[in-house]
Amino acid sequence: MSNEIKELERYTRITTAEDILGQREIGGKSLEIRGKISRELIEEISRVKKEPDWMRRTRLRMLEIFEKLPTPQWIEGLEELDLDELSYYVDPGVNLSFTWEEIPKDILEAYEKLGIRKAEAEFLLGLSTQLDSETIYVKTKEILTKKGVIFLPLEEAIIKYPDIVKQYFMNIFPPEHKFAALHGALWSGGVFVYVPPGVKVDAPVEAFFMIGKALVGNFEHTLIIADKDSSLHFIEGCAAPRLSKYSFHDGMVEIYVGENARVNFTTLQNWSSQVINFNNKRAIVERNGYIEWVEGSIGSKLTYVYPSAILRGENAVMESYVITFARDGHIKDSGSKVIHRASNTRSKIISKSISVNAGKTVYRGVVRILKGAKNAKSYTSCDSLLLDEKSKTVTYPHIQNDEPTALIGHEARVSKLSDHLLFYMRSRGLSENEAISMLISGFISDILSRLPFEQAVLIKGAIDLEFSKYGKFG
Amino acid sequence: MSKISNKDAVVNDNKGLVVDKLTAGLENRIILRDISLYVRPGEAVALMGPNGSGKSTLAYSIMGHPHYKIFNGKIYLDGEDITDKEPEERYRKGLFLAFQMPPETTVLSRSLYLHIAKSRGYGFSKVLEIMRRIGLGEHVLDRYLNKNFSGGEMKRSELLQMYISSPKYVILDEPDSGIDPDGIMIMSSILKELIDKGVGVIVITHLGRVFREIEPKRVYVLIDGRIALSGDSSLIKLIDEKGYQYIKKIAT
Repeated sequence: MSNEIKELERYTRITTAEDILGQREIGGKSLEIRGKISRELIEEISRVKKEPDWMRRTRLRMLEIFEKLPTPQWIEGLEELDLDELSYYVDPGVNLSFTWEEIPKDILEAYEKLGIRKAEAEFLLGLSTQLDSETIYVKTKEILTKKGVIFLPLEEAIIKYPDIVKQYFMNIFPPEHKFAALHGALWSGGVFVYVPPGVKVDAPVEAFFMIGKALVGNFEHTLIIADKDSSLHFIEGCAAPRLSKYSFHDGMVEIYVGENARVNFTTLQNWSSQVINFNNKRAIVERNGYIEWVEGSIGSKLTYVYPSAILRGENAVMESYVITFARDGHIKDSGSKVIHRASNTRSKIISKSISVNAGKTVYRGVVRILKGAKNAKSYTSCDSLLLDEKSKTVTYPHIQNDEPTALIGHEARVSKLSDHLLFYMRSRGLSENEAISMLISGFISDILSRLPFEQAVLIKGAIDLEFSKYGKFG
Repeated sequence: MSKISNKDAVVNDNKGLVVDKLTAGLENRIILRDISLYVRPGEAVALMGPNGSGKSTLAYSIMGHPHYKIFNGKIYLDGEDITDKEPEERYRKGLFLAFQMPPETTVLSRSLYLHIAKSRGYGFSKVLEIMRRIGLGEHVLDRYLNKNFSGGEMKRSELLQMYISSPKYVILDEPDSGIDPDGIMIMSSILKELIDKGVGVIVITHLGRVFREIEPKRVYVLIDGRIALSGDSSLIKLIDEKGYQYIKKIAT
């Protein structure tokens, strides 16, 4: 572990996606659907996407739920969000491509600068990239196809595999709150992955989402089915240039983990600081199945994300590792949720949050153990690091246990970066910046060490860069 | 009673850690007044005094703690004025402060130990060797430095960092509190080795126990922020027998 951390410290000058892309718009708008959310607007999106009638009906059902449900009382910072002024569907005017050469130069340049093309060449078995509302590039390596793995834009999967999509779409995560329902009504883009029984996918696949413009709503939907005895590592990346006004992201990830299957789902959320970010992530895990969520929440001005799992079969396991980083008055409300529905199920939630310059982090978690989930075990640990007096952190764990044989642990700790602590580190020869970098590396080391090296470097690099912007740390 | 003058400190060669007429404290409160003391290479001195007399403040001020302000006086390291230097510069010039109560960190012990070792040209094997010698278990390597450390682990960890820092001058702030007799013996032997190698050592304590193996050249007694008394090692016995109240009485 130490070597990796040491290595990471060499990469402290990597910049964030926002800094790489700068202030600009990416891609055009060959078609745009905007205005008040209504039946007509939804019908138009459905028409433009030329989708089957069952999907149109699903959207309308979601719209009804959206209109019925109240906005959760506890959400803060949404004053700016005006649902009547956004573009809910933006076609960037790029045909779905299978080679990079077909992608317009300015867009390609963005992917190259962000290292996406390099990642694909070096270690990914499949990649899809989405700009605004549509997937513009998708490619899988032959080995994936040979093994029978399906990796497609969700729109295409609806046509080719309607029965599978119908069975799971918005069923793993039924719209139990307003923004999940809104997502169901407006969704566009995202990928569908199916891993056949017994197939182990040895290297990661990635979906990369980019918002290219201001006042855009982005609603991609990722649906992953890992059949029994299979395994998959899926990476989700998000980025946006610095925007002139806010944009709104409300995505969803639904994962079905079959018996004895394993899915690792890693998110590196690096939206620019104008993006309001919601994401709805849930897995259903069958007997002996395993889901791992890694949520690296670096960017955005406002985030509400809680990777969750329903442990439905015996011995099913969820591990959730969440890093959130809030700066400049941004709010990061994150955590993880788990429902234990069978015996010997286990869950582990490790949350690390860092706040600086009036940033606020919130840990919000739910652990529910249902009657009959005998010997279920759950452990939650949330650590917060406050880098100055202006920053805040709060913890709202919710634990509900109906099973007397269950074992539940919860720990929460707050560390503060004080002058005295810095003095201690400096008295060992470290400069102030070196000391802070080392304190942060150590703080998130147990999560970073679980990530593929490239991503660990990115997360650490992004965080370091953020600190170097502040006078005290710069 | 007598006091030792700093005039003895500089013997042509400019060697030594010298605190000269130092007045220091917090922004609005003087804690230390007119402190003068010194240590030369290869010798130990004791800084003794009751609780709250300003010993730790003095240690922090010498190391450059940002909370403490120097109102007057100077600190010299081998003739160089380091009064306004950053703590990390003082460290790089060969000064080391072993904390009485090192703060909890979020750094893995391994990372900082390795950083220190590398900066002084040692490999990790040296870290492990010294850990074994001072009885610091390897399990601390993958724990956060000082977090949930026992008293003995903290002292041993500070001792390890001190050793691998290859210092010229060290200040140990109450290294004998919260550690078992075996720990004190190990510490004494490490200090003896450093002194033999030419390191100047200031030990802050209010007990005399740590000086069984190493005899301090001088003893400074700090009471109410002033050097009330200084002299040879016989002062330790006097304090042991009569206490600080007595020292205070004869000093004034």
